This record gives sequence, C-alpha cells and structure tokens, in this order.
Amino acid sequence: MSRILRSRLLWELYTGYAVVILLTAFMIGRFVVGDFERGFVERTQESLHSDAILLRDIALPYIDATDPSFQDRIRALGSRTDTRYTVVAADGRVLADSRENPAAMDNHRDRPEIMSAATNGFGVSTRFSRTLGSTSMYVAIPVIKDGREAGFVRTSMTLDILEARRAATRRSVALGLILPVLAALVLGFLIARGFSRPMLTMTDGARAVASGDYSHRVRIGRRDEIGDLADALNAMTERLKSQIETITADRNVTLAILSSMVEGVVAVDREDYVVHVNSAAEVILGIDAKTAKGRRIWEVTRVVEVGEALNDAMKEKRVRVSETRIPKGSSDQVIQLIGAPLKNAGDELVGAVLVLHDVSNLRSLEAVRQDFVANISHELKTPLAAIRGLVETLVDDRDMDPDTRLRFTTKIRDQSMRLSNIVSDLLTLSRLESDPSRIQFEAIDLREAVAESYRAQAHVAEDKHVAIKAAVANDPVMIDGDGEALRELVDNLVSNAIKYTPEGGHVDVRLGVEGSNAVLTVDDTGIGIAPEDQGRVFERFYRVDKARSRQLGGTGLGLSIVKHVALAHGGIVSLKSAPGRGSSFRVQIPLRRGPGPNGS
Amino acid sequence: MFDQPPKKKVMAKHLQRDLDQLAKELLTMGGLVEEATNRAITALVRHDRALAREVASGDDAINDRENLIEENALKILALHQPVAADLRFIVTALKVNNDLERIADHAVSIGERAEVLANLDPLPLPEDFDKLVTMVQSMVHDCLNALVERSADLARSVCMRDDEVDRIHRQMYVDMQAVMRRDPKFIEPAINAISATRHLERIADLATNVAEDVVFMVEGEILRHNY
Repeated sequence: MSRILRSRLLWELYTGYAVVILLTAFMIGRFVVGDFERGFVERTQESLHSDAILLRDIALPYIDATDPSFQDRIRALGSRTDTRYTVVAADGRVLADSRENPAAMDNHRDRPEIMSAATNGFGVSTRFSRTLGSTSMYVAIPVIKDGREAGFVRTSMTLDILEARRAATRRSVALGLILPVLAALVLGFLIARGFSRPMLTMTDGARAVASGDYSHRVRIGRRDEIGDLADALNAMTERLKSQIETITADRNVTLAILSSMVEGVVAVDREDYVVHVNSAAEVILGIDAKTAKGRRIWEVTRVVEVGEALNDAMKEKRVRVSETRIPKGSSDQVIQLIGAPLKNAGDELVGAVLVLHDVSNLRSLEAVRQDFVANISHELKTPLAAIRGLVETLVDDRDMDPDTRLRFTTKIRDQSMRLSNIVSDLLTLSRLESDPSRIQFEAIDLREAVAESYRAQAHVAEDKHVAIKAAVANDPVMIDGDGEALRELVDNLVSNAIKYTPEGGHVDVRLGVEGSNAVLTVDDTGIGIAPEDQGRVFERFYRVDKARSRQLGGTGLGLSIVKHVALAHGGIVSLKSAPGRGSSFRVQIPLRRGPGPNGS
Repeated sequence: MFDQPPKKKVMAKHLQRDLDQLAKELLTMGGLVEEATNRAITALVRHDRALAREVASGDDAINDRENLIEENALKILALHQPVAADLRFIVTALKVNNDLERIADHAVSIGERAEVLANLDPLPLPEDFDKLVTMVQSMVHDCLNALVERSADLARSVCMRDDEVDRIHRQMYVDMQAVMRRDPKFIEPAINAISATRHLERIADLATNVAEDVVFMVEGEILRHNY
C-alpha cells in the first residue's frame, strides 16, 4: 500500500481530480452564501425603506417645529422595534432619535445616506457606527413639505444578525457538501488507484522478465485496455521464454560440442579479448577458462604462436595453419594451430577463432614410420651387401684356396641366416600386428615355455660366464595363448638379458601368479637403458647403441615382438632400468579363465 | 579552446591504445624469452642437440623485439608525456625489456653448453640440479605472470626464491669439484655444467630484477637492494 502511495501516476491522476472537486465545492459554497447574504441585505434595505416611508408620514407634522414630545414619540416608536429611527432637519440638525439624545448628536448633514437622499431622493449606507459599536445599515429619504426639502428621516438596523445568519448558512452549506465531496474524493482515489496499480504490477512484471524470470506472469483482473495490455505482456513473456529456451538449448548443444571436442578452441574478439575457451584448450594451454574470459589473449597465455596465429588470421582474413611446441612434463606437445577469422552475418570481421590440435602422437608415429622404413632398408641392405661382396669375390677368384673359400661361404651362410632371421621376425610381427585373431589360442602352461627357453639359452649364458637362474611356480601357470609366440617372447627377453649382461653378471628369470595374472620377470645386471630410451626400446629397429646391437647379433625387433605378443594375449610389458645397474622386464598376461590346469 | 576536453580525451585514448600495444609486445617478448629458456633447459636436461641449436637461432627475433619495444616506449614518453601509473609502467617496460633480453642471451649460452655436453660423456648430476632447473623455470614463469597480473605478491615470492637458487649454485661448485676429483674424464663435462649452472643463476637474478620492477610498477616502491 505504501508503494502505491508513492506512485506518481496515482498522484498525477488524483491531484487534478481532487482540485476540481474541492474547487467546485468551494465555489458552490461561496455562491450559496453570497446569494443568501445578498438576499438578506436586500430584504433589510427594503424593510428599512418602508419603515422610513412610514416614519416620514409620522415626522411630517413635526419637522419644522421644535416639539419636545416628538423626541419622546420617536423613542417610544423605536423601543418597540429593532429599528432605530432618526429625524434630521434640512440643515443637518438631529431633531429626534429613537436611541440617543438628539441634542448630543453631531450634525448629520455629511452622512453619506443623507447626502445621497438629498441628491437622489434615496440614500443607503452600510458602515460601522462608533456610537453603537456595530455595523449598521442606514436608509434615508427626504421629507418634502410644501414642495421643499424640510428634512430627512433615517432608519437603520444593525447587521449583527447578518453575521450570525451568514455563519449558520455557511455551516449548513458545508454540512450539505461535505459528504458528497468526501465521497467524490474517495471514489476519485479509488479510480486513480485502479489505473496506477495495474501499471505498478505490469512494471514489476516487466522488470522480473528483464532480470531473467521468464516464468513471471502479470495478473490483473480487468477486462479493459489495461487488461489487454497485461495479456499482451504475458504473451510477449511467453514468446520470449520459448525463444530464450531455444537459444539456450542451441547454445548448450554448441557448448557441449565445443567442450567435448578433442581439439582446443579459443575465440577472441577484435581487441584480442578472449571470448571462448573450451576445455581441451584449457588443458593444452594450461589456462583456466573462467579467468581467461574477458582478458586479452596475450595476457592469458605466453605461447607466442597462439597470439600470432589469431592476429594473422584477423589481419590476413584467411585460414592460417602453423605448428608450435609446448613443453609438457618430460616431452613436448606438438600443437597444430589453425587460425581463422570470425565474421558476423554482415561479413564484418568480429574476431578470430583458433583450433589447437595435438599432433604429438601423429608426429611421433610419423617419426616411427620414417625410422622404420629407413631402418628396414638398412637392416636388409647390410647383409645383402656383404653376401654380394663375398659372392662376387668367389666368382672372380677361381683359384681361391679351399680354406678361404670355406670362410667366405660360412660368412655367406651367416649373413643369409641373419637376413632370414630379420624376415621371419618381421613376419611374426606383422602376423601379430595385422590380425591377432589368427593366433591359435590354446591352453598353455607358461612354465614349459620358460623351461624350454632356459634349456636353449643356458649354454649361451655359460659360454659368456653369466649366471642364469630360473625360479618357476610349483603349480602350472595356465594361460590362453599361442605356444610358439610365447616361446619367442621368453626367448627374446632371456637372450636380450644375456646379451647385454657383461661377464660375471647374472640373469634372474621368475614366473609366478599375481591375482588373475601370470607374471614373468627377467632381471639382469647388464648395462641398463637410459631413461630417455626406455620409451622407445619397444619400437621396431630401435637400438640404444646400433653398433653394439648388431655386433651382438640382434635384429632390433626382439623387444618389439615381446610387446606385440604380450598385447595379443591381452597383457602388458613394463620396464624398469637404471644405466649401469641393469634392467628388469616384466610381462603380465591374464590367466586362463575357467577350470584351470587340467590341460597340462 | 572550446574543444580542449574532447581533444584531451582523444589523446588519452591514443595513449591507452599505445600502452596496450606496448604491454602486448612486452608479453610476447616474455613469451619468446620463456620459451627460449625452457628450450635451453630442456636441451640441457635431455641432451638434445637439435633443440639446443634452436635456442640460438631464435635469439635474433628476441633482439629485434627488444629494439622495437624500446623505440615504442620512448615514442610514448615523447609523444604523451604520461604521469603516475602510466609513467611507471613505461619505465618498468623499459627495464623488464632489458632484463628479458639478457635472460634470452643466457638461454643461448645454456644452449651452447647443452650442445657441448650432449657430445660428452654423461655426467652424474646431483639431485639439486633438477631442483635448480625447476626453480629457474618457475621464477621466469612467475615473474612474467606477476607482470601480467600486476601482482606484487607473486613478484615478491619470486624474489624470495632467489636465495635458494644461489645456495644450490654454490653447492654445485662443491659437487662438481668432487666429481672431477673422482674421475678426470668428467673434467670437461663438469666445467660445462658449472658454466650452465652459472647462466641459470644469472637467469634467476634477472627474473628477480623483473619481479622487483613489477613491485615498483604496482606499488611505486623501489625494492632493489633493500629487502
């Protein structure tokens, strides 16, 4: 209610209305009272006039004479009425007065009513009489005797009664008007409120909608134009709500798409202020979208290429592709940056968008592939060149002594063996890689593979003076697998361990069960592998030391085969190593599910 | 003149635009220098020769940018005669610019040491060395962040870290001496490692300078030599 009292509209409507009502009441009152007063004065004057005419007849005989009884007669006349009678001689002398002693009275010739009566034949005057101490009305007419003006008679009456009557009239007029005026005022207030209250309600509604409360509805129980306005407002809100919902839904979909993207997306406006950063970009650039938004891109990230890509996209107005490296942990991330200008519907430039694509894996795969092609060519070419040289010598030198010839042919045999090893390793690898489903799965006791490998490698270790120990579980370690591939796995690990362990070192082979996995570990006290090489030793043809590896007769494919065999069996290979102290390979393969060791 | 106030406003707008541009160039410079530092350090830690050479090749761009920033800063000073915070920012930009360029120079030197070290026998480095490297990287990173955020607190934390860097730097001398005594074949790599450490320590000092300049810019208080 207090709010409605502060409504400007209410007071604007109501003030005018109230002023009109009050003014009307006031005017009515004034006219009524004025009318009454005029009537009263007129009636008084008329009555005084007729009294004066009667008095003139009474006074006529006495006007010239000085008869002391005249005064008494007038006084007696006056004592019976409210009217005062005065008879004045033509020269102004007071001859008789019904209230006063005429001898003590002034000359009345200069009284306005007398003067007026002298000239006009009738005089009237209303004035304050000091002798009586009240306002009185005086009416005078001349007394004509023998055709000449012999004197004047004057009648007067106090108007005190008029004041009393006027007040009474005012009171009754006021009493009569007050009810309708009050009713009109209250009614006016109610009508004004009836206009201003819906306005307030609608303003509140519009404000609520503007501040985002689209469920707000304006309720006004009116069937007129104001009601229509409220209905229109509600319809507008409804429509706004549905449009906002559509926009929000679209926006959410877009945001969801953006934030689920693997690629980072950064958008800036023309002044370089960040408009959007998706979650992938947060991770790639190591920034926080909340703090980044609204700041300049070159404040947010110091990856110089980001700012440049966006700037160039805006400046050149075309898509721009570049690459940069961002350090992340132990390795760099290779990020491809695709910058494109952002344009609005009017084809005006409004900013730029940058897509960050992590191509680290792609780049390292490319490197691996390039290395592989280079390596395989090299690996195949080396023995081939040796064989060719030896064969050419044999062909050219017919008279070679048998010992040399034997040495040559032996070398040719060794080199062709090497070629064959490489090719068979490559075949194994490609078999494992291309179609793991072609592996013949059967129940295998891993202990047999270890034992077989141990038997085959024991004498090699002995020749090299490396102590080899195998600790195998007492119960069968059953897995589903390809016997040949698994033997190859164990062989590769064990022969590697022996190869890279110097004289006097030892190799420990252990096979056990941990949970639902078979675990094979091969530890050695060899030369170890540097941390930066540890991630790459499982790559094909990757050798920590190329010369040494080849000298030891490796194909560079052993560990790669180990990794692929393990993967094909659903297992993993891990490696712990310290340069100079030795390496420890650990292969973990899931155990055979089901009845267990009944296959052995 | 009647149009004095609007003209002044236009000039203020120009000044603001020029200051923004200067800040952008300075931070880009910071980005390049940080990248160079990180590359040099990575090359040193990973014995990556190619990366080490990249540091040196990027230095020309940094030198050019230093000149550009200095020219622009002087141009703003001459043209707008800024006062108070604006003036402090420009003075800071000039000083930071200078320090950043020198950080880049040290990064190049570290790159050179890294290249030499990559060709020599691997040296057993004390664990503190990794800590030194991480701290120097974080100091460079944070002093630039302090500049971006205009955060005196972050800047002060960079200054605090300098003592630890100095301690590790001194300790490295002792450690390297021990290594050289143990095996003369480590003399050459150890000398190179000491040189690299020295450059790292200098980078930390310069990062501290930058941090001090940031405190000056934010608070108007000259922190140098008295904390």
